[in-house]
Amino acid sequence: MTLLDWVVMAATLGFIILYGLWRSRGTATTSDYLLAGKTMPWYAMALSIMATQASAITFISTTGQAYVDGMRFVQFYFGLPLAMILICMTAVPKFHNAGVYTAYEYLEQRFDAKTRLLVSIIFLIQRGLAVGVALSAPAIVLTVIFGWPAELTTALMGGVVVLYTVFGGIKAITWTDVQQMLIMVFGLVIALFIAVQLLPSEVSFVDAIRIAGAAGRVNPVTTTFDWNDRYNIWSGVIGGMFLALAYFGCDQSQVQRYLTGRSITQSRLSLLFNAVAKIPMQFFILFVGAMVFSFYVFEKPPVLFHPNEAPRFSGLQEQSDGLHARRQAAARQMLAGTEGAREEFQRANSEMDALRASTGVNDSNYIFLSFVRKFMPSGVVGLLIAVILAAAMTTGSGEINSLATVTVIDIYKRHFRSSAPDKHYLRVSQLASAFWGIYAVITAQYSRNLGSLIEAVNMVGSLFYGGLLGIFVLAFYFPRVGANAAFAGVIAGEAAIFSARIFTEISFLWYNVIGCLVVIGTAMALTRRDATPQS
Amino acid sequence: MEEPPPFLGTWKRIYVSVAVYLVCIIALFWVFGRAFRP
Repeated sequence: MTLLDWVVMAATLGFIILYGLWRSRGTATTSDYLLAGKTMPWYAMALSIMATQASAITFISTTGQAYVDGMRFVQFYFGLPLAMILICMTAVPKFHNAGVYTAYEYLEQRFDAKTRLLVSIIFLIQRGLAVGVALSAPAIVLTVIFGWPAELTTALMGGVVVLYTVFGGIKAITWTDVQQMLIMVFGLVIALFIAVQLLPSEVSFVDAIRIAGAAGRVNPVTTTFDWNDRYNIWSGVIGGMFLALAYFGCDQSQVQRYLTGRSITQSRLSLLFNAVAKIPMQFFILFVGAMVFSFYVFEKPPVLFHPNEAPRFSGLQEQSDGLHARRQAAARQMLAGTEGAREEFQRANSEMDALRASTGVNDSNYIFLSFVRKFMPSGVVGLLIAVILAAAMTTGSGEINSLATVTVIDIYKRHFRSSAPDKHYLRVSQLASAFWGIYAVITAQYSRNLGSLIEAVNMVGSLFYGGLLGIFVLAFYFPRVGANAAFAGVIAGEAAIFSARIFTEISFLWYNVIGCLVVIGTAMALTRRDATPQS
Repeated sequence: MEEPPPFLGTWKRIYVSVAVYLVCIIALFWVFGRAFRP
């Protein structure tokens, strides 16, 4: 990194964090700290919700995924608009009218205290694991760029996040998310523009798409149905909808965002903005990855982009270089319209893919960063690194804040000390934020080798979301189901999900569907049994 | 009494518009993928 990169990175990060802290001034009550005093406008909530999802993981992992597997990951988001509609119709008015701090508080109003406690604990486990993955992403950045030990970079990043979260509260988090989201979009546009500019002069933008398409990287819709296939239109619309329903309807890290809204209308508008904007944004990020692939058709790529793993496979570099030369020549002939060149390009590309796969190393998280470091101009590198770090910090801080909220509101205040002054709960909330921040740093140390980080986050979420979703569906739509039946349903649903994970090869996107249906089925069966008169 | 949305008059119309938008965007992606398929 040049001096200009350092200046751009420091200025961008400094502005984002200071602006957020400035907007959070006047935070004096627990409601201010956890719900921003319910004063947030819809556009701030909307961008905050998008920013929380568009984390550092999105930036560095999704682009790499497009390079390796194409754009079909976008189908994962096809169910999101449908989920948003359902949440706007049910969860938003229910939560707002109940006047709750957390989604799980509503479960006690609907069922009982033990159900609220069980679901709160499930959330704490699931989100506690995911927050570690969110923090480990920027550690990868710093390890690649500076060569620092990953343990140290995770601890440093985590330390900043903890301080920021403890002092900022949700108001600061939301406003920093707004800035981060705008800068992230700007950074993505710059990255795409430069990737296309770096192509050989005779290769146009459309040519680059043709090359990526010939290699199977332009595949945003796959209509073939396969239970074991992670991304096709069916798993995307159905499985993705269930996952989005669980994420936005039952996960406190998201529910808390739209609970900060001034009204039901403001909260609904923020979710519907996401329904419209999320898919194009994911498409755009994947498209940047596809263009990076086309760039490397004309620029010699390493066998592996992982700087620490690559030396182990240096013997394969010569073979890779030979295949690259073949692929490049075939690509040029293909663009010139030479007969048979397309097939030769695809053969060479398949052999290169097979060579990379033979190493057994998943380096998709390093592809985009490697590209940025080597080929982006001075200043832009600093901007993109700042975007990635800011994304990680805001995602991490938002998750830590929601973990602290559930710990304080659903556990501490409900079960340990129910009538203390508001100042006490504000202080406990800050302490809980610090605790979860340290926990996140520790779990981040173990989450760096989970393969594609974006998939790891979604997979961990899918283990628990089915159970969470099932109980909220019962709460909203099944008025006859009582507390004991709902409680047993959640236990059965989680057992079904873990059985599917351990004993089958079913794609994780289906876990939410399975878990939700088992929760509802079990609770309904128990309700019917209890309602049947004994002979 | 439910507050009306700031545009399109009713929430039902907004929800239908979002669903139609989803169908359109999937169709657009499908056409895009077909145009550049291997």
